[in-house]
Amino acid sequence: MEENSPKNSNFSFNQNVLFIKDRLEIDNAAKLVREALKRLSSKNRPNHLIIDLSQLKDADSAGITSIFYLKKEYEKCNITTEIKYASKKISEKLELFKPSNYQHIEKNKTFNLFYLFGEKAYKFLSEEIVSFFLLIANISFWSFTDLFKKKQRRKGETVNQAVAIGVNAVPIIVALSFIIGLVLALQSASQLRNFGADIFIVDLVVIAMMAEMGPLITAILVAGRSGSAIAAEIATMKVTSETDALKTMGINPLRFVVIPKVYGGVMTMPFLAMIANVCGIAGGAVAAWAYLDITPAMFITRMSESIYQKDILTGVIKSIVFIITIVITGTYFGLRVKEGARGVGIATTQSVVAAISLVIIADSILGLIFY
Amino acid sequence: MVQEKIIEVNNLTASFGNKEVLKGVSFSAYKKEITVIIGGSGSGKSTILNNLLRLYEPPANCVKIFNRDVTTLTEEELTRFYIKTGVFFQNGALLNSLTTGENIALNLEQHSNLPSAIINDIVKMKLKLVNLEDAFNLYPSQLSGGMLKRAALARAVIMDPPLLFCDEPGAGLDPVSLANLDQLIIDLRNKMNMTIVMITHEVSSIMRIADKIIFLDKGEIIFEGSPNDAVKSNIKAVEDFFGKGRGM
Repeated sequence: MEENSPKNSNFSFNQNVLFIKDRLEIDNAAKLVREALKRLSSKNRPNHLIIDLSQLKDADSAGITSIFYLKKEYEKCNITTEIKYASKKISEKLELFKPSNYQHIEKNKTFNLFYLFGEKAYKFLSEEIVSFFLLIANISFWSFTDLFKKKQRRKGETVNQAVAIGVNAVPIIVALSFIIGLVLALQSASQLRNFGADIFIVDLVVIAMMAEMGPLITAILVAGRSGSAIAAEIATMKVTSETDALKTMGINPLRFVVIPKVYGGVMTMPFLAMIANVCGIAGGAVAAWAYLDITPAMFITRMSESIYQKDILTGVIKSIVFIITIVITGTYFGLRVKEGARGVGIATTQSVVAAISLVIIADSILGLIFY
Repeated sequence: MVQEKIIEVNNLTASFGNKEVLKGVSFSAYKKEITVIIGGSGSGKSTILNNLLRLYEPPANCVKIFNRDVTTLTEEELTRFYIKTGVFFQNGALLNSLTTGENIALNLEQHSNLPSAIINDIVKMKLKLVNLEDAFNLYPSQLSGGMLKRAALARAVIMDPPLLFCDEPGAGLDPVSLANLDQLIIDLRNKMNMTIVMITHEVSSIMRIADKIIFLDKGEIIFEGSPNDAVKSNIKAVEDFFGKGRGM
């Protein structure tokens, strides 16, 4: 009499009866659901369905939930559905896992794009911008105050930070700024030669490196290298309650952790920028010598005419502004971490992206001011 | 009626370097029984659990679960074994990047072909079972200690495992939350016919929950029996453990 019984299955349809037998578990429930839902869209779908459980020996929570799910889906299509003839054991499970026990639990609804955008924008303006400026004020205040309170500083920490942020970054800055100076000169050389303006390659490389590229390359490298480390360190401290522990010991975490980084960074960053300038110009000199036959002696003579004190000073001021931006950004993203391991990763990524963006914005503003 | 043996440990030994951590431990756990393994720090409790779960490789024929020597399980069988075995870690070990609902659904999503609507319903049902209906959309970092433990329990039983291992489930909980968690574990055992092996240090919890106690000392079982027998025991280490526990 069985009208439809898929091969090797534990269920069958007979007109308006769905027989389920043996065991209904995680492994075979999906097949039952698939076949029964297929039947809903077929021509011979019933007006009334009985789910006959008389031969069902055992079921797990997935099996029982699947039965209730089918009942719900059939009833949505105006097919009255009854679950019948369950044994005592199965009846107990039906009672234990019945939908009325959990149907009030709602999964978060996904809001529309405009709502999400508006909410994010409001949160960004009302919370994040405000707390970022508060942090700037806090760090500025303590950076200034602690200059005169040696006792508040941990001995040797500023030097440690100077080494970590500055000295350890020297090799990568030397290598990359030399290459950038070299490429800059190479790219410009052919154009300048067309106009017979070979010697101006010196002015181009020197001004570009001193006023712009040197401090900017340094800042971008330091943001990636030290900014991420600052964010990760502070975020981990926050997650593991180390910042709370410092507070409960009466120690301001900002003064203890961040201010030495500000001092260490400010002490070393101008030197890093200058090293970048020198290496970039050296790279340019090599390219000029190789491509335009400008000897190092000619390069140096022309360079002394094209360097202005203002460019050197601008580079120094820029590099100080950049490092303060990087430290504050790293600290901000480190302190706002909420979740565990994932939060630390997010904070680190965000801090690098934000620090590089802010450094470029600061560079534009300073460029407008100085030129 | 003869009880069905779920776990059989026979002369299990383990060492770390030259240090012998387990010295021929033998015991059995039966269907629907809650076996509690207790003992001081370094007595070998966690080593037993790791051997039972084959996180450590036990010697051949020493650990049989569902009548199978766990060392003979192929990779595929081992995966199947893990799917059908619930593990409740001491710190919950929920993934911080997922919501509680997503954490609990993970096993089902990975190991079944069920439609997501059904998986959601099963997750909700399990959350209801552990009285954690409000936590569906919350992240682990937003849960209290007790809620975290209950969420971890819901995750451990999502596949209706016939066997559940609990590693110090009550650690760090206040007495009321601990009593609630114990009741929950007993209810789950009764409703879902689970066999449970638990490591705990909480005397109150042991007295409420245990059908059988296995007391380890320096890698050896020095007592095996019911909680009432343990309280009456004259063995010094057992006496100290329960004596101090009662006095607290």
